[in-house]
Amino acid sequence: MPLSDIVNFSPHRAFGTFSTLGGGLSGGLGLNGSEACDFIKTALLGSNWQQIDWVPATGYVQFFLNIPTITSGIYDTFAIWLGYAFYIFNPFATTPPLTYTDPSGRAWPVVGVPAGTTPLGTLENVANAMSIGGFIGTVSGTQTVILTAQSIGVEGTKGNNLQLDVTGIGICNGPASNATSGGGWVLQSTPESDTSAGGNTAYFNLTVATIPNVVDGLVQNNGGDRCTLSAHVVGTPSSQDVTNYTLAEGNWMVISSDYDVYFFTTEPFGGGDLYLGNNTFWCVTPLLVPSSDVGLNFAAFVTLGEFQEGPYDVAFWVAGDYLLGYWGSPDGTHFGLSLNIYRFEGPQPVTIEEGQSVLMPAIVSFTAMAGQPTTLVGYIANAFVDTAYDAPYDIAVPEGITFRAISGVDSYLNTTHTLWLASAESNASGTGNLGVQGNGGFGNGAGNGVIQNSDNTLSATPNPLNLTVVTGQITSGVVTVSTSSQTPISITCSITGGPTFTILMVTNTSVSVAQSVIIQVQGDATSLVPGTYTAVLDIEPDGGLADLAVTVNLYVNGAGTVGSLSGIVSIYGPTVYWISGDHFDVSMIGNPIVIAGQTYIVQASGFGPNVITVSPAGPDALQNVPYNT
Amino acid sequence: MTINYAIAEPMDYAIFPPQSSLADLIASIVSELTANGWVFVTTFTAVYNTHTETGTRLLATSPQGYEVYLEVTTQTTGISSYPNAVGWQLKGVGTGSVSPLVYSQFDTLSSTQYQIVVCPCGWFFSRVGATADATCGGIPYDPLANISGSGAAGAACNLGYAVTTELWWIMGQSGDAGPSTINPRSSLGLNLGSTVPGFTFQSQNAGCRNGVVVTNGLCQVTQLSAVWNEGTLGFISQPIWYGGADLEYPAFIAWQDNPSGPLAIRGQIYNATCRTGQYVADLIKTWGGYQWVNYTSDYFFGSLWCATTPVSSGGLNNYAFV
Repeated sequence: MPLSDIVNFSPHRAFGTFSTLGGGLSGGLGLNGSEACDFIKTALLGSNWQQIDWVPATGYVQFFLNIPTITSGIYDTFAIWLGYAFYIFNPFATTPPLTYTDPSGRAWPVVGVPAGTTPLGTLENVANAMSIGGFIGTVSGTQTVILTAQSIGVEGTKGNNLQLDVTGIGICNGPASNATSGGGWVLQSTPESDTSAGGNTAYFNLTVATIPNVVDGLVQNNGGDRCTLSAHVVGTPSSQDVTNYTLAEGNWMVISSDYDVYFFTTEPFGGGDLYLGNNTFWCVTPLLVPSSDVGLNFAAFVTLGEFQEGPYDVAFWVAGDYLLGYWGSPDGTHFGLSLNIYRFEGPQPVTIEEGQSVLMPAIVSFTAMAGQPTTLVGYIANAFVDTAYDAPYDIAVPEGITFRAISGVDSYLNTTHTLWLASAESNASGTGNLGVQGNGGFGNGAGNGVIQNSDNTLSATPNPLNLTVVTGQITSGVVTVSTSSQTPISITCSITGGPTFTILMVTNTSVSVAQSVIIQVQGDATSLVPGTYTAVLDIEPDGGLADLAVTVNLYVNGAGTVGSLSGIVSIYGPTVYWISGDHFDVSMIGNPIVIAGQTYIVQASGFGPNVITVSPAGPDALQNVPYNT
Repeated sequence: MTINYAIAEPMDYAIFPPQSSLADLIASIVSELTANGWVFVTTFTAVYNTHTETGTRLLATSPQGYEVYLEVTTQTTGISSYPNAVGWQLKGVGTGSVSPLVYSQFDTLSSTQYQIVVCPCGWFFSRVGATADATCGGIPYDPLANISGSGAAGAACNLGYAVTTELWWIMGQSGDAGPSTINPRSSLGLNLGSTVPGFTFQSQNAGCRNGVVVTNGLCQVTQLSAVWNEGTLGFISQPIWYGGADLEYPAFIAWQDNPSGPLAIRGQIYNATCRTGQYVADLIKTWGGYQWVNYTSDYFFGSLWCATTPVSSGGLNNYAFV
């Protein structure tokens, strides 16, 4: 039986995996809440959800910049990400503020010291200079500048959060604390009536935003915000919110279509199994059957926590009624949802003669009262049910379309059924136990859509969206090791048109390799365990001082290339040459370099031995530069 | 998309007036069966529990070529305190397989009417408006026949599946008089979800594939259901569309090979379909190209309907699984 006989495919689907660590007590290096919001938004937009609003951050963020000693200009430059803008700051730079434009075209103000301010390099100057960029800078004590940022009502990326990601280059001792958040987006699913047959007028507004990560009353350190989801069903006769579902720390999977979005923890980092109460969030507007017997034009449900074949932690709505119930509610009522399937009423599965399971359309019903009929409302798009059991997250690929098992075991009935949901993954393989025969099928009336199986596939393990390009430096946001069997991890870095280097992440120290590439790995990678690691790649100028087109491929052994980002790394900037291990080679004297589109000639400086400069005079940072012989 | 039926013709629905004797009732049954595709083989006498009874052997042949004998016999000693009953027993053609002997008690009351829905490879027998004395059985449509080879197709095109040579099922008396068992006249599935569970006398039900008769395999018509609660076995519920319509689904016959094995669907019952709704017994409705009579009496969790008359040509050869 063709899959299309039992599955109603939606016009669009998207799939993604991502990790949340959010800087909790572990000070994690994974996707913080803002970054997770970013990724989720991208996934939903890929399945035809629309962004209808954004949520500005509220409150403020304070950052304690510890500067034990102000020494010289070349060691006192800071790069600060304010959620919607990127600032590069050097308290010793006396030139007017410059603007750097990243590959996406977004301007990054570069903050210098206000003209005429003297002396340079004091804490007061640090505070004053940062204020130009929109911060409120105050000096605290003899070594600390407190920077406070407030929302300025500008939509940006990273969840519109006020989070400060500080990349201290030089003497910055790093973040000490930060605080509030709240930014995000409102994303809207597609009403079925807008696309084809059926006519479910309900749709979801899903707010993807951040909240502070507070543990034991303390706001966690930088990056400690958490991604939260708030579903609001829209339509007549009822609208209702399900709010503040916070994604737990772990590896997550998101499957979205025009009509639903499904989040599932594939590997909670907090330990335990997959049946923790916070491992699922699912918003669905079923495909309705256009029949007077059915009598519906509005139906939607949201499941929270563990999803099982039977009702469990379910909130739902149905036309004419508004029902909100939870399993085990104090009044003894049991509301929920259920999928219709052949049931044995015994512990064994229902199969067909030779052992294959029975595949059936995923028709969902809502339960109203104990002992009463359940109310059929419609079909779940991109899904089918199976009378055999497969573990959650298992993969099956019937007819070349990847499906994920998203149901759990009914621990009471011990029944062995599975709900499969098309995930839009490409090149997946699995051993899901699917039957080869279906039944005769039922009338459904819901329109089939065009299958988009792979175009919308996303991956954020590591998250390419989080790959940031800093002057002279590429920082890969995360490299996630989901199991110890994936060790060692390697990162392949290639300069377009040039050689490719593969560097194993084996230590927590800088590793020099040929052709002037340095890899720094943060975290103990000698014995990789499940967690998140950050790698920093510095590009040295030996190959000629020019803007470099760089492609970074993040490669996980056993899984292949799992993410990449290409961009232009400009060598312009005051700090590019003085990162540890970098050097200005004397052999470059007399050769041209290209900085931000301007050609300079490297020449000996008149200020002493082993010092070079450029001609015509370039930025301060390129004047009188020491070089290695 | 409409449901696929397994159809065998001719088909008929007959209501017998009150019969004056057990022999008359058996004669009416045999007459109805032979008029609708069953082939008379022989009459015979045989000893049942030390009593010699008379009977008629008929041969059923399914559209796929499967065969089985049905022996309809007088059971004058009857069961328990009931002295007269119709005996129903299936026997394999050349395989030696024999089903349990199941009964339909004979009632001489002038108001008692019996009825039967027949096709060339199956029957559904019952008392009008009552659940007692119902028996049913026959040869189902084999979904794997086309790829495994079957009675008529032989061993051709065997793709690794066991070749099916024999396939039939039988269900004994339902109701509250005498031994009662799972029978679609009173319930689908195991009836565990019923608020008033019936007495499930399993051993009268049997399924047979390739000469292996299983009498403890919980032979049943598979039941499509939702659940209104997670928990005990009794928390299933029948799903009804929001507007009040019920859901139609294929009528599958299934049994376990052993108590720990899966409930294996062996095939689709010819000229039958299921609905999730609850209906009074013997209600007649028309849809999908056929007139149907409801065989299941007021069962909360669904109903089995038997085709009685084609009303259009659209459904013929519209088999399930293909």
